[in-house]
Amino acid sequence: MIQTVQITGLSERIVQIKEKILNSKPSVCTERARHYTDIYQENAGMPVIKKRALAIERTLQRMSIFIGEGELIVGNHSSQLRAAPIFPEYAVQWILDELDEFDKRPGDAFYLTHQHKKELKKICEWWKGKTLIEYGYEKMSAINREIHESGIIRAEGNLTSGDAHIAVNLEKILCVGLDGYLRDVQLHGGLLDLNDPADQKKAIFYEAMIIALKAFQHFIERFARLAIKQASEIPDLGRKTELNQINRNCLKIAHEPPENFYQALQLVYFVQLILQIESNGHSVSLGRLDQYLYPYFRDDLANGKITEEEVLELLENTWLKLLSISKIRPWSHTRYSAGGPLYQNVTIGGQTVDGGDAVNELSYLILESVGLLKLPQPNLSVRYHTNIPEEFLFACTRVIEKGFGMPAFNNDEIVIPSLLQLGVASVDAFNYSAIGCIEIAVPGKWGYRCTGMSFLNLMRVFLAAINDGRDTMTGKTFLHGAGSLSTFSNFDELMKAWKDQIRFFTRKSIEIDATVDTALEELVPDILCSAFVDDCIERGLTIKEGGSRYDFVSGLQVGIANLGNSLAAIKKLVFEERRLQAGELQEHLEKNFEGKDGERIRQLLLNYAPKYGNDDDYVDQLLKDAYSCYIRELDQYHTTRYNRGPIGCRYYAGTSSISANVPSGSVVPATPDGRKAFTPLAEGCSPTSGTDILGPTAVFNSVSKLPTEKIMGGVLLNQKLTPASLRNERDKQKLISIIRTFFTRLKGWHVQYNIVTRDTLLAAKKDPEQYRDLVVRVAGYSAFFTTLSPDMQDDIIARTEHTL
Amino acid sequence: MIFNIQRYSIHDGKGVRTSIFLKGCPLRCPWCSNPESQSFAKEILFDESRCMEFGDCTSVEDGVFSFSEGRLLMNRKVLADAGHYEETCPSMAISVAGYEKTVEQVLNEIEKDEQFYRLSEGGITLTGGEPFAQDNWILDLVLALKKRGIPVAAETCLHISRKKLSRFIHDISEFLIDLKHVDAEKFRSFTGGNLELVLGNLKFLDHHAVPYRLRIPVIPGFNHSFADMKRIINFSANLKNCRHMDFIPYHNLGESKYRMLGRTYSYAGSRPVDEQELEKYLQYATEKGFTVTTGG
Repeated sequence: MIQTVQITGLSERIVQIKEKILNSKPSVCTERARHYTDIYQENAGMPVIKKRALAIERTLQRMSIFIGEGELIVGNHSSQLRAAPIFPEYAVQWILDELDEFDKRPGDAFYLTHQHKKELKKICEWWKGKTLIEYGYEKMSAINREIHESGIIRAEGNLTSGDAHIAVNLEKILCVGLDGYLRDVQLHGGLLDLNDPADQKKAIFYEAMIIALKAFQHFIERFARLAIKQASEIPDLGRKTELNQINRNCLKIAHEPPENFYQALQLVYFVQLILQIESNGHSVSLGRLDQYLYPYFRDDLANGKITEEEVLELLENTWLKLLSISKIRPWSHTRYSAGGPLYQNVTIGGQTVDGGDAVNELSYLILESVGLLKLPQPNLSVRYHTNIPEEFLFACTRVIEKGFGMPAFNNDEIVIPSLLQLGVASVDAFNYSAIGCIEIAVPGKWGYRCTGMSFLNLMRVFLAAINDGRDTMTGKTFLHGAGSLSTFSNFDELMKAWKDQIRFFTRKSIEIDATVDTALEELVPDILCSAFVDDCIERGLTIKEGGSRYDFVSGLQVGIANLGNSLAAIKKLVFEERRLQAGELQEHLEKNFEGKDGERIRQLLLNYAPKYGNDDDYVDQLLKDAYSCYIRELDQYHTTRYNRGPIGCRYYAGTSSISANVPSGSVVPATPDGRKAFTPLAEGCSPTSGTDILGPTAVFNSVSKLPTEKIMGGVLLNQKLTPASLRNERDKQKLISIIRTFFTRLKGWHVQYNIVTRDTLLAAKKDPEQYRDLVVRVAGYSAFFTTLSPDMQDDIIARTEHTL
Repeated sequence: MIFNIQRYSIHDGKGVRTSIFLKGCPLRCPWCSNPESQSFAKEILFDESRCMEFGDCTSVEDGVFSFSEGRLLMNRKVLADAGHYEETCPSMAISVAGYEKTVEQVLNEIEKDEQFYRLSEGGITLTGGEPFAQDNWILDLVLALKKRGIPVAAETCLHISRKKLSRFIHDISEFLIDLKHVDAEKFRSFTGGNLELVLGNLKFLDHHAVPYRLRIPVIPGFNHSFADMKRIINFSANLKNCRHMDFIPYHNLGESKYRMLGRTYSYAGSRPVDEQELEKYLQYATEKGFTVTTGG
């Protein structure tokens, strides 16, 4: 594949659109909330799914729409740029509680007018007692609610927002057009037997889909009309032509399959947009854009209908549209996803269904356009495979060098065999894409949340294990323990105590997930999202009812490195070398290593016990053993879709814990790895900040020892490099060679890079105005550095920088 | 005795490498950025900034560390065996430079990154100190690596006997030769070494067409002038098999280690290498037909 274009920079148009977005202040839009509330009030007795069809219809009919100056790709999320719509049906209490604080948040602030606040208050008051979160908590058993409140397991994000974490079948949408979907719904609707109560339920779902799909079509036609209106009013002939083109595009794709690249991209964006108006979920992903758009690109280029420069501009415009979509979350959840990310993932590269290299000219252009814009959206992932062209990896390192954390790499060599192992058909396994951060699914065929079920705080569980089952934060004992640090007579007893506790809390996390899932299924079914995922239409079931072809999910385990390091420190210093007394350690943990004696103990823990990330089997194997216990326990459980249709309906492990390591750490007392109370935990599967002192190859080796083939929810590894380490071609080549080794030989799962100097980050923290466009990798996603809260910024700064 | 094993070294030869640092050197270059590499004996590095005065070190009863009026003091003069201080300090303010490892132990470390060497065509770099000063141990290691097919490069000042050097000429994939100067008097007065020995060895390697490249440290006040460099380059141009020249600009990153060793750093405050001046050397060397790189 030849990279044919030499890109010099962004066009004037793109620069202007970008500036406009960056200069817009985050705010809130009340329109969606208003329309949904009206419909729910007017139709109280109607089945939920039909209510929701009417609500999306009303919203799409009446919400303000606009076409920004110079825009080639159209469609707005709310009444203003970067104004977050409100989804009151999920949760309102947090809005009422935090309304006056939105603009005072240390990170991710939102600015509201008095008018908006007044309207929101009124809307939220009506919803009190009717929302998903309240329903979810009501359904939870008393003990599970206590565990949830304790913070050991957190699922709040799943009750305040919808599901998402999904890529719909964009390939099929482009192929059959929206009319094709309508015909399909009508066809299956006609086959129902209304004597069957199950079919009666399906009939309502089909009716809802028809309402919603038509509403979607009308929404697109509204843009057609707006474009023609603007064209008639504008004197500039060039812009007039563009607006006429937008009009034709919208008229066409509202019903029929797109006939060229431009229309295809516009339709992809509309779908992306509509899913994020329907549901409050995030990580709505675009799947393998370079694959399903390639035929349009290739044909248009061959027929001289489009140039590569035009393709680039359209792509850039699309990325800016993705960036203009905004979401407001409760502060409690915002801390888990600092920087306001929407995790709209685009995946490129990888293999074709027959195992050939899938990199094409469009892959290069997507890479290039994302690199030129340097924005947090989309979240760009590259699928690595052994035969991926060196030249493409080289192009990737040139984007990595820009230091905004993209692209991230997923590895076909481990993901595809694992998917096959799980029972995924070969054509589908070869077609997987990244979703959200780093997790993976088969686009258009997979249910929600291939990761993103509840968060499990491993270190709280560990502390319970060494304290006779007592949770040291709340003082509560959820499962009686097998002893405490000072009573264990050997390390095996401690390990057994850990295993008892982790099995218990694993089971609890599944119970909590089941409660949340049934609440979501009953109260906030997604209609359009279901329509666009196979085989919901055929089965007449929403995704949550079991409509998807595949269903595998994962929760998020936080504190991986801390767990391994804590085990190693105790084993070596207490049980083997006896350099520390168990009682003494326990006492100083409780006292958070206060005083000189405490600090001495902490230093010994930090400096004289092996640390995960240094390729030391001592600690790496302990971690593997401890974590595997969780992973094996998962095998016993199923999702709520079990026996309802999808293949799988099972759990696997996942560590793509977004920025949860900071808030999760804020509820964990001191730990035996020498970590002080309430400071961040290690993120993802990365080593604890500052402890991986042997460089990237040692980290790769350590990570590879984990049972990565079973952690299909993502093995998140962040590495930070200094700019000097990518200075010249030879340095880039060396980076490529270690990435290749990590993936091809060691079967690594994922890696991503932050390339900024510590000085730059410190300067940006001090002087945010000067660095408002500085994007950094937070976890499985990138965000504007200056929108992060100070403690999150410190965490990023602390992550080890490998000087090569 | 070694003092460090550094994985993922990418600026000392081809591909991804693991560098083995051997302790002890016959020369005493005052600009040396690894001052702990010079002595053949174990040494104490004391980093005061990390000292939290826990006092664990005072339990070693040689009197090197003691409390006086509540302050921890160090008296290096009475140090008998630095080895007593291994793993004594909780906060690692005290570390011991130099440890004995068997060839087997070092091989274990080396093999951990074997996969990375393979794909990048990297390998091992022996450095120091002067690695060939410990010729018996090194030869065992080199032969063991040869058996495993892992290429070995060696960085050397060539201030060693011909006899020692000749033991290695068939098994080192590339010699990285530190050529500091070609002026015998300057060389002697700055490093304490005998230039004749170095140049003789260099010609010997050149004569036997052993693969090597020259590494020229660019040191202010020593050879950082066009006149000095011209002499070095002209000399090298007369060698038959010399193709590659790497200029290593002086840096002061080793300064804190002098302090930790209780030594004075005579290069404190030296100005960094002048980029424009450096460019002239590169150009001249290129004109003379060398492949030129900077910074390793």
